[in-house]
Amino acid sequence: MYIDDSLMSYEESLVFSLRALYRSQGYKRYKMSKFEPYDLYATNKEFLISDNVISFTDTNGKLMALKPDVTLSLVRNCRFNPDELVKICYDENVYRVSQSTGAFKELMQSGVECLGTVDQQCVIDVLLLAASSLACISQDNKLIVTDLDLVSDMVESWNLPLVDQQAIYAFIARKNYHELERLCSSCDIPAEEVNVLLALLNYEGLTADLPAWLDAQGFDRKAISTIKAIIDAFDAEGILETLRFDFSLMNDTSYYNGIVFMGYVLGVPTEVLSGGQYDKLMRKLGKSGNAVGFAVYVDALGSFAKEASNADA
Amino acid sequence: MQMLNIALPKGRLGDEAYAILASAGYTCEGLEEDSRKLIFENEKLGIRYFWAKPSDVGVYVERGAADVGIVGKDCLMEQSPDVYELMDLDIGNCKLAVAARKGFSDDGRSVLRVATKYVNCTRAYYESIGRDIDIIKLNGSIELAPVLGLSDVIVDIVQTGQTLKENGLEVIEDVEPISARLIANKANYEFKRERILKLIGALTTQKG
Repeated sequence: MYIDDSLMSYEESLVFSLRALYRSQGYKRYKMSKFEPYDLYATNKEFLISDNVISFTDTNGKLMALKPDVTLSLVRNCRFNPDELVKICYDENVYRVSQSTGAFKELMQSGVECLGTVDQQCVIDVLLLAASSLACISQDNKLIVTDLDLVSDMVESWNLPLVDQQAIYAFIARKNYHELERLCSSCDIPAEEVNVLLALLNYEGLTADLPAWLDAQGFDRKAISTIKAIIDAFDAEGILETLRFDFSLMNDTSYYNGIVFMGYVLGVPTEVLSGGQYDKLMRKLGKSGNAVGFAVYVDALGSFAKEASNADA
Repeated sequence: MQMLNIALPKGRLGDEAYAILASAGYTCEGLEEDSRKLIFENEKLGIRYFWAKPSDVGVYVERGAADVGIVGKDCLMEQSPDVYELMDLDIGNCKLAVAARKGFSDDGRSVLRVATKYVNCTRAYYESIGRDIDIIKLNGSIELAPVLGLSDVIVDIVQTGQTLKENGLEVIEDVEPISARLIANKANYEFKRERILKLIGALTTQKG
């Protein structure tokens, strides 16, 4: 059956382009149920962007929810052999509270998840795929990457009460280093250790120079090797200028670990892509194997959709 | 050159903020003149200023209409916009505090009635100390509430304490120190990073 492209909305066209991209990279489409047992989300609230969930009682009396997140449902329901690599792609609606209106909204997400034998090369392939996804939206794009463990290992070594640790992560995520310094000082953290953290957070050198700089500062060699491999891969693809490491990028450290990333395109005021490694979530849900993935927030591209429809008119 | 859009809060804080920006080299003709105009550009420097209601600066920056903005910490705490908080400008210094009529003592036996326009900050503060409260949202002249018996205490911005004193009130607890902050839109930060970092550098030099 032939479908005239011009009949599709911007969002529909993008979803098909991304699906084609993911299929071409060997990802298999996974279709999920709209509903999940409520307890999955109630027990993993921190993993969700918004902890509000639409719940209802099913005909059998079971408390159910409209899914607010794809990854949790997918990890829980997907059957896979942890000794193999399973590559899944999806485009699904999720139901979350809009920050601006405070009301629930149906949001479209496209994305990929790799489960099982996720190694360094798999993480790099997923990062390159994230970069290609951003390029589907706009050539003016940036992929911001961090190694969460570099920051969390340092912060957790200070053995602070949970409330202070969470405050430190919140300050880092907002680049609020003035209050971060004050809190560290009030917690009696040695100034030299705080200075190492601040130097990492404030790194503004060239991306290509980052591995040597990290090495000179004495950071973990394995992490440096992964960062170098990512930089080399982006360089080989000729897209190094779209990559930037920013160690202030945070995500919940009780679910995510290692490489975490976020994507932006010029003209959209929020992130349009978010992802990372979530081996800790796998353990929490009792799954073997590791995992990495990302989602493209199709609904965040409203301004692009408007431009496309104006062009149509 | 792509414009760097800077949102300034109307009023004294905005005037102080612009004075620092201007002395750091980010000048804009006409901005200090008394007029109803809201947008000012210096094409040569590639900057565009606009005046916004102080409580709206965070919204303009979060939504990307402004790349950066100057806003009081009180607005940031109350609204929690999803922005970077890049710098404490150390101007507009004051504090968010709990005040009550002179001699008032909270015996903790009943629900504490708190009048404020900072509902979220107030809720967060009392949750942190485990005190049960009833929040009464007001939009101005908060000092009236305890005087007229509408509330037991108020949570409000205190600069010199003169207004409190003149209404027979006094500070009984400090909640949070407040000052003006430089904030940035997270996405625009990536595409105008060098210019924003240069701005931070110039402002840091000015602060000494």
